[in-house]
Amino acid sequence: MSQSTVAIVGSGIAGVTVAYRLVNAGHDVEIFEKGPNYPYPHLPQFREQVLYQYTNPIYHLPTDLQQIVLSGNYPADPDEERYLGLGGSATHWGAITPRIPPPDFKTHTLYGYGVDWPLSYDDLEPYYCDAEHLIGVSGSDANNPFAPRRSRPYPLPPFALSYDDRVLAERLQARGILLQTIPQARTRLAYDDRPGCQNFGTCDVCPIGVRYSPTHHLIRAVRTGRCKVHLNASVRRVRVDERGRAQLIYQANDARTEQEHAAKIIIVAAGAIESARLLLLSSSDRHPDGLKLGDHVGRHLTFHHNWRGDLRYKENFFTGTTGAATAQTHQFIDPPGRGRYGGVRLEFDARGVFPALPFSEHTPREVIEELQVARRSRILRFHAESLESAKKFVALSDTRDRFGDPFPQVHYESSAFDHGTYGLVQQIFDKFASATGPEHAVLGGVDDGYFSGYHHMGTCRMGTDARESVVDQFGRVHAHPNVFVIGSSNFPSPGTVPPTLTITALALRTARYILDRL
Amino acid sequence: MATSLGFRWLKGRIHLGLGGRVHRLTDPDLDDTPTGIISEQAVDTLRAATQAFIGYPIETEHYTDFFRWHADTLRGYKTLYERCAALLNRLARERQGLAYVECDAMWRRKILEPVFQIRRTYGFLERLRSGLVERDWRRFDLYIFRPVTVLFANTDAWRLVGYHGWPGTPRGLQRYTQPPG
Repeated sequence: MSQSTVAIVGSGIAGVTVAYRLVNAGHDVEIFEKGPNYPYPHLPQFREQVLYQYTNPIYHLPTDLQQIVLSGNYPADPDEERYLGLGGSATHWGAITPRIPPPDFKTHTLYGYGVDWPLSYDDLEPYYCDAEHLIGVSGSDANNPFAPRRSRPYPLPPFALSYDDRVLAERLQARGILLQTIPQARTRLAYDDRPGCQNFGTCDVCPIGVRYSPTHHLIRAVRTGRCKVHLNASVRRVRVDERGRAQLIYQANDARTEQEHAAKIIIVAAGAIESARLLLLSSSDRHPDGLKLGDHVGRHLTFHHNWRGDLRYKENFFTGTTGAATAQTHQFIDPPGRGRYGGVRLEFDARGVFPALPFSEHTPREVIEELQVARRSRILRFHAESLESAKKFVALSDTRDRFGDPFPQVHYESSAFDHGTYGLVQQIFDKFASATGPEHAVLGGVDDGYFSGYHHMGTCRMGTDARESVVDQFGRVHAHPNVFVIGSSNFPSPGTVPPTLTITALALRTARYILDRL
Repeated sequence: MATSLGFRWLKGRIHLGLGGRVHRLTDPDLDDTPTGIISEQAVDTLRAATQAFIGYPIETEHYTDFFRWHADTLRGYKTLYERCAALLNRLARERQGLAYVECDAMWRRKILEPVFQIRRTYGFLERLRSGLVERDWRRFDLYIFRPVTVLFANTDAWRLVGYHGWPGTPRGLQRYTQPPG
């Protein structure tokens, strides 16, 4: 049996953040990543995808290792909203990094819905600062009267509003709506061995490492000699023996036999769906030496509801001159009447409205005609809060992977609360349209016109009461002090903004907690 | 219940199997042939065919780079490209007594007419016919001219509608804040 001080399941932003801190403090860490290598900086992927239109299968798991069985009425495929490979989903993320605003930590107390987090914004604020400095956030609150207080400035200046943002911002301001720049983990200037942004615009596979990928710090951790990464290694169980010692049972994806790995501390950081799946597979309900988890694992799943409004104007904005969005508003994240519906963050997508058919089906003339329309269009993204319900959960399905373990089942049905939030979204969309004067405006449907924004949360929520939650405020499983679950799976509620900065801040807080006890 | 599920599974397999075979008739696969360095003559011919197919002024370097990378990296492309170039040259010699690259723009487009025709086949039966009768031209459309269209949409088309650069090139952080023009 191999062993290490700390073993981490998953090489995404949560796991890597903790690993980096622990390794720098002199501890040895082994990371088990189910998926394949994914080179960083992403120049090879940039060349293949952008220059040569090639999706390389070596970066993806086969379907007998990665699947989600979906039920309910969710209109997208959650399996396509995550990446199982080195660096995890944050190797593909949009890198938008606002902080969860203070009221979102206590919606039950303030508005009578959801549950309060077991920590406050003030508890997390210093770690938000650390997270912004770790991943290199460019931003400014100078033009954002809705931003929460901060104790340290952003490490980098913001990306300016684009020309078309400014045109629309003027029209919106005349109707009392304020646009702000967007904090984002792209280096506006050179920072921490990453160059300043050159605006390639292909941020998903930034060829020069401007957009943050966790691999940036993982490579450094490995260079210390104290961090080992097991690629293509599926962790099948976590267990704790009668003396309280924690072990992972894992299997190389191409091996016939499983192996054991013991660690003082085991951290599950595999995303909201896979973390819940692993815990369910490891539960004492299924195995005598399994984890004592209670009955909340897999429950309280939430997605953000990301509705899209398409706006087409008469004038040419030349939309699409940046890869990432540059304009947002936080004006509706804490709206009057909150409780009957959720808060909404708005963002002008950097891309224009492109045709539904792929360009390969077009003639060159049609391509030109479509681009002429796209350059005078904008997409308004509504990033809406949602609320847990009994009809949103992760369970184990009847379909099994190559090892015989059940794949996760995701059941998701939008609720009356979500429909209420859509009503608010409609009002805001009408207001935006009326203020900016498009010749054409259309909003996606309530149940068929949204997706999660790649944000899966809940399933292993944190709380003070072991009967109502899976882990405490540091991600520690209530019944097992040496087993942690971290990441967005811990979120008691989704909040109104993208989760990744909060995932990173929570991971830094967990790392501090573990370091104080090792 | 078990019978019903078994029947559904069997029906699904038949459907998938039949669907897959029909799909291969309408949209033939690439041949499984080796990778390798494509001849410069074939590259020149494909460059000329790309210009004729697009019909707008374009920079050709990223298209030829695209052809070279595919021939060198992915099985089937080298053979396909060289077969396409050979066919275009044969047709050009038959009709004009010249190599394809020596033909004028009008003749280059005329020789590509089967591709334009295939582009106009929308119904299943038409696609099936072209997949059976014009199998090579169908392959050329699928694996050369459709990707060329996407490459055009991602690059030169941006310039043609007034942008200063396209995604994938370093565009800097000044111009995007300025009025267009």
